[in-house]
Amino acid sequence: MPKLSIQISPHFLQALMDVVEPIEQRLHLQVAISLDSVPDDDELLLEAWRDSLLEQLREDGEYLIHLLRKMLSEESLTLTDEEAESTLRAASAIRLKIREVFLSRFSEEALERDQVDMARLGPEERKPYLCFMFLARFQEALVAQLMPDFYDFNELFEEDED
Amino acid sequence: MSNMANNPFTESDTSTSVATEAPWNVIVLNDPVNLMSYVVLVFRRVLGFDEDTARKHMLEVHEEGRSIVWGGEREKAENYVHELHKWQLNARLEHDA
Repeated sequence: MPKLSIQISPHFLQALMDVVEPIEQRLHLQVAISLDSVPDDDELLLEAWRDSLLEQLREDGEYLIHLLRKMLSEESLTLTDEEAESTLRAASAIRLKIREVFLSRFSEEALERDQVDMARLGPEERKPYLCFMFLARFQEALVAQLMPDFYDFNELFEEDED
Repeated sequence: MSNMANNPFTESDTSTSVATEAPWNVIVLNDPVNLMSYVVLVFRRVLGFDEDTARKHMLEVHEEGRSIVWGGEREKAENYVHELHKWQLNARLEHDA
């Protein structure tokens, strides 16, 4: 069962919420991924497909918001595996949207390798980028708890750089 | 956790599927957002891969831009694509014609 210790200032949490809440609301109506690949021209199937994804997004997004708010009052969070997985999915959806809406001018490589220079960010990009990075680290911490026998992924990045 | 049982695309009777039909492949495409570790976890959860297999496919996605993670009958392939979409992976279905 994942257990995380997180200390977060109210100021930083508010900055996160300023980004996460509007995106989470948008995800009630619009999926984060492209549905171009949905394997059918059938409108009914496409609608059912989208509705099912939105239902999952709503559930996951609401849980993530609940969890972020909880961080203000509790330094230690204990999640069930299902809650952790829900949080992971929501974080991915929100990161995808942040990328699409705020960070699309940065290359895939720069984002993949965390090579975005903070000094190059415009004022409207700073909070979204911080949120993007925070959620990535949060996801890493959760994955490490869900897969205790996890590989050392730093090794992979070192291989990439050779 | 999302699971196949809650999937609206799951049908209870698949006995009429045609065994000789060319397989439908589930393809996962690279994206710059989802973490490598997260992708490994998703492959394990959704496709039931062991760690080695999950890592192999994740690296294929990362290095070659795509990986065929499953092949077989269309209905089951659609279910996998749908589950991978729930986890925000860029997955698609392709017919191995």
